[in-house]
Parts: sequence; C-alpha cells; structure tokens
Amino acid sequence: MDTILIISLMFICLFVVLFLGLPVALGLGGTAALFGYLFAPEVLTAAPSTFFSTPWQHILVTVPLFIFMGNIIRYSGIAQDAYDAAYKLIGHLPGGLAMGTVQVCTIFAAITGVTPPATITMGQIAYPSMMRYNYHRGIAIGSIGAGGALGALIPPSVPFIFYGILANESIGALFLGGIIPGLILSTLYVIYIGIRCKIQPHMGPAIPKDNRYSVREKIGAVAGIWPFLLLIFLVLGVIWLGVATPAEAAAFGAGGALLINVLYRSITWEIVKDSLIFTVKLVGMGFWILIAANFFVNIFSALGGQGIITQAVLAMPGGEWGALLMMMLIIMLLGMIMDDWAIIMMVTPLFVPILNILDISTLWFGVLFIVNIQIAYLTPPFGFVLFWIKSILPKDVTMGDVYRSVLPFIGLQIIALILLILFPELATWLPSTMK
Amino acid sequence: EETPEAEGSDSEEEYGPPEEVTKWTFQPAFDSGDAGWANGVEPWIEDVEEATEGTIEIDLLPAGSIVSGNEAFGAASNGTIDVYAGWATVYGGIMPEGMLAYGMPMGAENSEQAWEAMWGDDEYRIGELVQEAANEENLQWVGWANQGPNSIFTTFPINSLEDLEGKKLRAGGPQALFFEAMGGTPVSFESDEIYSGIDLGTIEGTFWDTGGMNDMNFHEVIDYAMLPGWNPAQHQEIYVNKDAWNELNEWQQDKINEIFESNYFKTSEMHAEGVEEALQDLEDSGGEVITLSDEKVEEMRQEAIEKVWPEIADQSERNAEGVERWEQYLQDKGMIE
Amino acid sequence: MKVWGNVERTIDSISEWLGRIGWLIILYALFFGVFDVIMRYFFNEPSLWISTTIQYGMVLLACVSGAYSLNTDSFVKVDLFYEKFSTRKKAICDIITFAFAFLYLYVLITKGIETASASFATRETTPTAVPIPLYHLKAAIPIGAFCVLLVVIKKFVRDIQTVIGDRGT
Ligand code: NA
Ligand code: NA
Repeated sequence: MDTILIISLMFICLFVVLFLGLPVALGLGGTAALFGYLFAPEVLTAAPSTFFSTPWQHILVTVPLFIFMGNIIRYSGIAQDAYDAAYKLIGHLPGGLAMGTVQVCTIFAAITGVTPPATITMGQIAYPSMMRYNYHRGIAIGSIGAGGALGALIPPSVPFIFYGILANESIGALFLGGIIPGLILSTLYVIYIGIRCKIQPHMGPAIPKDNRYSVREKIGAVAGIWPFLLLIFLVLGVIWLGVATPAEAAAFGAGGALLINVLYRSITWEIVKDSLIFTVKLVGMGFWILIAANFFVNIFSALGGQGIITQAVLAMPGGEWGALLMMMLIIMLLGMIMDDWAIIMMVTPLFVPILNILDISTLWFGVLFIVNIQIAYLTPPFGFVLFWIKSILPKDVTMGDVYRSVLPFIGLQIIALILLILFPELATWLPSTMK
Repeated sequence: EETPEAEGSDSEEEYGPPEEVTKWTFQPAFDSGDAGWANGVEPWIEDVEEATEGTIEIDLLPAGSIVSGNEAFGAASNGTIDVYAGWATVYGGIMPEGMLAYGMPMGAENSEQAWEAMWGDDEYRIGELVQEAANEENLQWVGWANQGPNSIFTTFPINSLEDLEGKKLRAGGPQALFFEAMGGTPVSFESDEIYSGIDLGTIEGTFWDTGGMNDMNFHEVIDYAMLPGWNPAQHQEIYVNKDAWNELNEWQQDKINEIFESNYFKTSEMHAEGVEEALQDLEDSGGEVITLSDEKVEEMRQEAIEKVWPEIADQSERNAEGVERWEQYLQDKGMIE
Repeated sequence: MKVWGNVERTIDSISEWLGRIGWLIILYALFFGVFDVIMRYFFNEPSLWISTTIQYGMVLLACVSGAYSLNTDSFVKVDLFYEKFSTRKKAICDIITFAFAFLYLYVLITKGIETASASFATRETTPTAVPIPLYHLKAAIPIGAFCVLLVVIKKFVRDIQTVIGDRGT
C-alpha cells in the first residue's frame, strides 16, 4: 500500500479512537501497535524499548519532583498566602492575579528547560487561588497553559540544545535568540489579560475601589510571599550559581518545599502522603503518554514517515516562503502527538539541508521552531500542555473548557510568530550583539 | 580472511551478484549531528552499496527513529533494525568485548597501530575476539573507524597529570575509570547537560571525542584541549544482524568483508580531518591546544595500564585475553617495558 | 458476580501496592538527588551511581504507576464528545476501543518478555563506570504492563455489565 495512505490512515485511526474516549496513552500505543502488526512487525519491539528509554532520560525526573513540589506547596497554604499577598499588591488591576501568574510562569520558564514543570506546578498553585478570587476559568487556564509553555523558549532550554547540536548552530546564540521572543510573548499575554479583564470585569475582577489596601498593608503582604520567593530563588539559584543542573534542581525544589513547610508551619504525614498519591497518579498518566508517543513515532518512521515529510516540504510551491510555511505546518502537526525533543530529533536533520539550500538562517529557524512547538502544545485537539492541564485541574473542568480557554492565547502566539517571521531581528539581534 | 563460515548462502546459486535487492535499515546510536555520521556511516554505506553492485540498499535513519540510541545495539541483535553503529561506551553493558575495539586508554596511537593489533598482524588478531562475541550476540562486525583522540576539554590548562587532581570533569564509562585513576573527580552528566554545565561552572570541562567537540559547540565554553588525549585512537564499530548477514550470498559477504580495511583507513582519514577542523574552531574562538611532552605521555600510559586496563580485563574472559594481547603488542612496539 | 467482585478487589489492591512502591521511588529521587549535588558541590565527591539509579527509578516508576493511575481514572482522555455521552453509550465506546488498549498491552507484554529474556541472557548492565544491572528492570516492564492489562480488563467487564444492564449507575 502507498506510504502516504498508510500514514494518513494511522493518524485518522488515532483521532477516531481518542475521540471515542480511549485514554490518550492507550490510543497512541494501540494505534501504533495495530499499524506495526500490519506493516512493520519487526519494529514492534520498539514498544518495550521506548518504555525503557523514555523514562530513562535524565530530564524526566523533573516531572515527578515538580508535581510533588507543587502539591506540597498547594496543600500547605504557602501558595495561597502568596496569592493573597499578590492580590493585595496587584489586585486593583483588572486580571492582576492572572498577569502575576504569567510572570511567575516566565520565571519558572527561566528555571526549567522543559515545558511540563511550569505547567504542572503553576496549574496546582495558581488555579485554585484564582478561583478563590472569582476569576473566570478561561483566563485562569489560559494564563497557566500559555505561561507554562514558555519553558522551552526562555533559556536554559533543552529543546534548543538538541536543535543546536543537530543543526550545528551555536547553543549560546539560540539561548539568546529565545529571550526577546519569550519576553514578547509574556508581555502580549499580560496586555491581553489586562484589556480583556478591563472590558469584561467578570473574567478577572479587580478589587472594588473602596476595598483597596493601604500601603502599610501592602508592605505587610510582601512578608506572606517570602516562602514562595525563597523557593523560586532556591531552584533558580542552584542552577545559575553552577551548583546543579536543571534536572537536579528539581530535587532542590521538592526538598526546599518540604523544608519551608517544616519551618513555616507544621507538615503532616497526611500532606506528604496525599502529595505522593497525586504525584504517582499524574506520573502514570504523563509517562505513559510520552512512552506511547515515542512508540507511535517509531512506527511512523518505520512506515516511511520521514520520507513523506521531506517530500511534502520540497513539493510545496512558493519557493522559500512555501517551504518555510510547510515546515512550520509539519512541526505543528507533529506537535499534536510528539514530545518536543522527538520532533526536533526527527525533523531537524530533514530540514537543515533544505534551510541551507534556501539560505534560511538556522538560528532564526531554530527560534521559529520552538515558538511553533509551543503553539502545537497548546492547540486543540491534542497537545501536551493540554493533557497536563486537564489532568491537574479538578475533574469538573472538561477538555472543552480547556480548549476554549487557550484559544485567545494561541491567537497571541500566532501574532508573535508572524512578528518573528516579518522581523527576524527579534531573534537574531541579541545573539549578534554578543559576537 | 575475517570472513567466518558463510552459512546460509544458497549453494545452487552462482558466485556473483544475486537477482534480488536486499534492503537494510541502519540506525546508529547517534544522529546526523555526530561526526560518525558523515565521516563514518555514510561512507560505509556508499562503499557497501558500490562493492555489492547495488544488490544491497541501505536506509539510514537517525537515533530515535526506530529505537533510542541506547537500545539500538539490542535492536540490531534481535532484528528490529538490520545495521547498527556505535561505541562500546554505549553498548558495552551488553557486549563488553566492544571495549577492545573502542580503543584502550593510552593504547594504539594511530590507525596503523590499531589495525595492526586488531586484524593486520597474525600475532595478535584481537579483532577475532570481538567478532566471536558479536556472533554470540547474533551480530556480524562489518565496519570500523578511528575517530581520532578522545580527549579532555577544560576551562583550565592541563600540562601534567597533577593538574587533573580534584578537578570536576564530565566523564562516563571508561573515561571515568581513567579520570578517577588520575586523581580527578568524574561527574556523570548526560550529553545535553554538558554545555550549560561548563558555561555555569557546574563542571570544569568534559571528556569528548576531539572531532565531535565542535559539533557539540563545546569550543564556545571551554578554553583548552589536551593532546594526545587519554585515548589517542577512539573507534566506532558497525554491526549487521546475523540473520540479515546470513541471508546474503557468499559473494555479497565477501564484497563487504573486502571493503572492511579500505573503508577503515578512508573513514579514519576523514575523521582526522574533522579533528583538525575542531581544533581550528577551538583556536579561532580563543582556545588553546596543549600537547603533552613524551615524558608526560609515558607517565599517563603507565598509570592507565596499571589502573584502568585491569578493569577492562575484568569484564569478561575474552576481554582478559584481549587486554593481554594489547599489552603484548605495546611491548613489541617498545611503547612499554 | 461475587467471584468477580473478589477479582476486582484483588486488582484494586495490586494497583494500590504498586502505587506505594511509586511513593518510595519519588522519595528516593528527591533525597538522593539533593544528596548527590551536595556531595559534589561542597565535598567534591560526586557519586557515579546515584544519577543512574534515579534514571532506573524513573523507568520503574513508569512500570508501577501505570496500573495505579489508570485504576484511579487519572489517564487523561480527549473527552470532547465522550463527556456528553450517556453512561451506556460511554460503555459501548469503551468496548469498541478496548481492542486497541488490549493490543498495545499485549505487544508490551509479549515483546517485553522477549526483550527481558535477551537482557537476562547477556546479564545486561549500564555502560557506566559503576555498572548497574538492567535485566531485572527490563523484566519489570512486561509485569507493569500486565498489571495495567488487569485494570483494563476490569473496566471492560464493567462496561459489558453496564451495556447488558447488569450494573446500575
Ligand atoms: Na527554559
Ligand atoms: Na496541539
């Protein structure tokens, strides 16, 4: 059978079983197993192989540790205090807490090299707090999802490292290249939240004028934030001071959260136990999706998927722009089901020769690449950020709620992407100053 | 001569190219960013396809396509993929004899010596031990390349072994054994952590293959390279699944064995050029290449043979035999007492 | 149906116990992760085995957390249409998609056993300076998948009961 037909059927089959309500992990794995049986039975051993090699990646330890950290903070009330304090400080702004959430996500993005930690941590902390202050679900979920996705763009970034190695592009330059687009995105989110909540106050109500806090109360509020800030500085500090790698810093975050709880108020075995239960549940969900997604990719490759990708780019009319558009489209499509590093590993070697022929800067493309992955992660119906958020939020939040919430933020990401395409200097200027 | 029993080939068939084209899937332990891609596996594929007159077609896929790089050796052995390329530092946990082919710490100094000890001189033929072990793993060893020195890249200068004492460098597997023996503090980071780790000062440098150093952009963050390296001739191997190998006819097997040696020297030469380029990149970005004196090299070799070689010998019976033959070779060459 | 009730309880307690192993692994990664960095930074004595055993732990965590997570309904679904279905309709969908879940787990178990046997045959270890045996870990993969299969079958039987009207909602 024709390769294109088989691969199309594989994706259609996946969509159908997922929409029929099969858990994402089992849908990915089941579809891959079926097509493996039919067309590439020798590759079925990739199933146990990905089961071993996916969690074996050292960076994945950040997933359970940051889930655990977020949970400990949430149970202990540190996060609530921090948000209460933030509410006193910036609550007079429409959507102030959501803006603050985006800022914290940006800081978290600077801490971690991958997407899940910021989403996971902030999802547990920020969502309940925003709900308490009557923020609308749409603004709360959107700001967490979009903010969390910044992790790959703002350095340090694991995806940039993988891309740099494969595209033979300076990793230092890529790190610098991600900063301005990252800040643009974070600023766009804040502006959007402010405008939206000004026009529709029910989305993120400001404190009524006569209830505002005095300067003294505001100064006092800062004291409530300290444990939270301390934790951020602990995780950030060990990385930037050269004490630990980003993967190792997660253990400091989790350990720090425990320690601060001991200092700050009593910690009970119940809290630790509930956090462990929550962590194991989420890790099971997340790891199984990542593993099955990698298996899906292995079968996809064995069926000749990589050849199809190259053909699609080269067959695209419109020269440089056509090819560029096609490459971004492919990244977004693959981003529905694939892990960021897996997409990079698969398509970078295919794209780099094309970039060289068309004389497109690999630095600029690298930044476009990561912005695209962010969009892919957030775009319905499938995306890793969507899956993580859905699993962290209370059960009454449906996938439909998540989809509706992220849509405006996807719009902002696309604006940033267009800006980046029109003005490549946004990515290339900062690295060029360091030469 | 390294052709083993050519079992499985159809006796009815005439000696020559078969009618049918054999298709192989080749997935190395690394991806196209690695020096072993353009200088190792691509030229090997070219040579094999040419020598077998197009009766073998090889589809080359980067690590992670079919299985992850770490799992690819096992995948070639069970037939998930047909061909594998990688280093014993990756697959040595399954087949420790790979260490004999990888290159002994402070062992062979160049391709000529390595070839002589491994295949060229009937006195030693250490390669046979590796081939036997590979056959037991359902693999046939078919390709080899000297990638040049595996060395130490640092933010501080190394002029003697004493300079390594107490330093924190990223070192894995045999590198860690060597570095520990030299009084250093080996740190086990994954490859994607090294760049940022050096940049932020978490570690003070890394062990790496010289020709691949610039592929990882390490020249941006390190200041010194040490030559001749702790392993002056680090090698990479190519293996074919034994069942896939047995399905070839005798003529095809002979053709592939014939290019083993020529391809070894050709790819080793290509890697040597890559090493030059990498060192040039380092100098262009303000770094310095330090070449140790003969005396210091001797000292390092003694230490390596005393402290690290026994660890390799301990890994299997064949390794013990192979290490003995390596020692004999260095003695015969007058490189050790 | 009493027998099946016992089977369900057994499956529940298996996944519960697997979950508890998961707790220990997380605590291990936490404490040894911090310990390793402190030993390296302050005492210049990094370990050559802690980071490898944490990676080992993460694979084991994937093995034990699957059944626990699925059994507590934590496996995320794209419930865009599904959530609007009636209980009966949901059960019918689940019965249809059961084949996919079964197939994946079947492949994981059978191929997992093959891979584990090969790993046992060579006594596979990590290629790191301190070799860590990997063959037990590779054997844990089909076992973990089998426990997930038990949970999947438990849910499948419930779905059939729902469809034939043997189970109230
Ligand atoms: Na980051
Ligand atoms: Na998506």
